[in-house]
Amino acid sequence: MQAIVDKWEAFLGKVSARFREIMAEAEPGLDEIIATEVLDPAPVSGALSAVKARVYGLQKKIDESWASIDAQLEGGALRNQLQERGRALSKQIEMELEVFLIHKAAQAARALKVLVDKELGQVPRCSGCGVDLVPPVRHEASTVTCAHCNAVNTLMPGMATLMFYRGSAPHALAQEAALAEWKAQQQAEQAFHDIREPGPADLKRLEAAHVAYWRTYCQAFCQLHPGWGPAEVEREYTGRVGQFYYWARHSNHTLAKATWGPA
Amino acid sequence: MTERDAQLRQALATQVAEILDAALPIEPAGGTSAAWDAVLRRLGVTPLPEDARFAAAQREQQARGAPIEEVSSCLERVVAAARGAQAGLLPAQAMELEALLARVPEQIASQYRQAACARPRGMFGYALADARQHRYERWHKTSSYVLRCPSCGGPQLEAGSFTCEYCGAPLAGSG
Repeated sequence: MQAIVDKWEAFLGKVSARFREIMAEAEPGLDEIIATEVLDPAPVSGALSAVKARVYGLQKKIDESWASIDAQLEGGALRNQLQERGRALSKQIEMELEVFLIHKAAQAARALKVLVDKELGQVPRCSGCGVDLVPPVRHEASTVTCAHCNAVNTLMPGMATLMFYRGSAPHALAQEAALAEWKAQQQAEQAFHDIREPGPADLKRLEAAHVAYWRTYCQAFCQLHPGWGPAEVEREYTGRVGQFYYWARHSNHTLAKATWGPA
Repeated sequence: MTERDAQLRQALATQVAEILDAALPIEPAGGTSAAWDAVLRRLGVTPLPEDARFAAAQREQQARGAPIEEVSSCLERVVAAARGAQAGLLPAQAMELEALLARVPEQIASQYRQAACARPRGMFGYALADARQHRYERWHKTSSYVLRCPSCGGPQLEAGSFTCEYCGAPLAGSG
C-alpha cells in the first residue's frame, strides 16, 4: 500500500514541477509577445490558449493517473485522502493559471492603451479641405461638419482605440482590479459546494462574495467607458450579478424559497 | 562585369525575390493569394488544381507557402527568360552567367523548401511569428472621409442627407 502512496506522491510532485516549468516559460514568452504586438489580438490570444492547453493537459494527466491508482485501492480513508491530494493540486493549478491569465490579459490591455493614447494624440483633419477638426467623441466613430468647407466628415478612430473600447480590454482591466474579490468569490463557491446541506446563512455568505466581486468589477469596468456614470454602473452590476440570483432562485434546494436579493 | 551583365543579374535577382516574396507568406500551406496568382500569370505558369496543390504541400510537409512545385516552375521560367536575353555579353560573361542560371532553380527551390517547411519552436513559436507580422499596423491611425457625389464630386453637406446639394443626384445607392 505504501508503494502506491509513494507512487501517487511522486507523480503529483512531477506534475507540480512541470506546471512551474510551463509558467516559467509562459511569463517571459507572453511578455515578449505583448511587447511585440497587441494591435492584432490573435498572437496574445493564441499564446494564452497555448498556456491553457498545456496546463489543461497536466490536469487531465492527474485525472487519468488517479483512475489507475484508484483501481489498486480498496476505498476507505486513505483513498479519499489521496484523491483529495490530487484534487487540491488540480485546483491550485487552476487558480494559479486563472490569475496568470487575468494579469497577462490586463498587461496586454495596458499595452494597447499606450497605442490608444498615441492615436488620440493625432488631430483629425477634414478630408475635404485639410483643416483640423474637433470630434465630439474620440473613442468611437462620429460625424463632424467642417467649419471651413462645410463638408460632412465621418471620423473613424484608429484600430487601437476601437480594439480597446469595443474589445475585451475593459473586461481584462476590470477583472484584474477585482482580483482579490474574485479569489474570495472562488473560495466562497468552493466552501458553499463543499457543504452537504447548505443553509440560508451559507447562501448569504456566497451572495456577499458575488456582490463584492461584481460591484468592484463593474465600478472598474464602467470607469473605462467614456461618458459612463453611476446609472451605467448600476445597469452593468444588475445584469452581471443577476446570473447569481437566477441560479439561486432556480436551484433545486431548499434555499430557493429564501428571501434575499433584488426582486 | 559589363553593364549588360550587371543588368541581367539584377533582373534575375529581382524576379527571384518577387517569386519568393509572393509565395512564402501564403497560408495555409498550398493555398494561393492575389499576388501569387499574378506571378503565375505573368510567368505563364499554370497553377496546380486546388486538390493537388494542398496535397503537394502536405506531401512536402510545408508549414506555409505556395506549393514547391509551382515555385520551381516559376524559377525555371525566369531562368529560361534570362538565358534568352544573353545577347551582347562577352563569351566569358555568358559562361559565368550560364553557370549561375544552372544553379538557380535547384538552389533557390531548396532555400524556399527550407523556409516553407520551417516550423516555429516553443510554446509561443506560432504566436510570436504571428506577432512579428504586424498585420494591422496601417490601421493604427485616426482617419476621416467625406461622402462625395458620384455624379459631380460635391461633398455631403448635411449629415443624414443623401441628395447632392450641388446637382441633386443621390449620394449613395441607386436613388
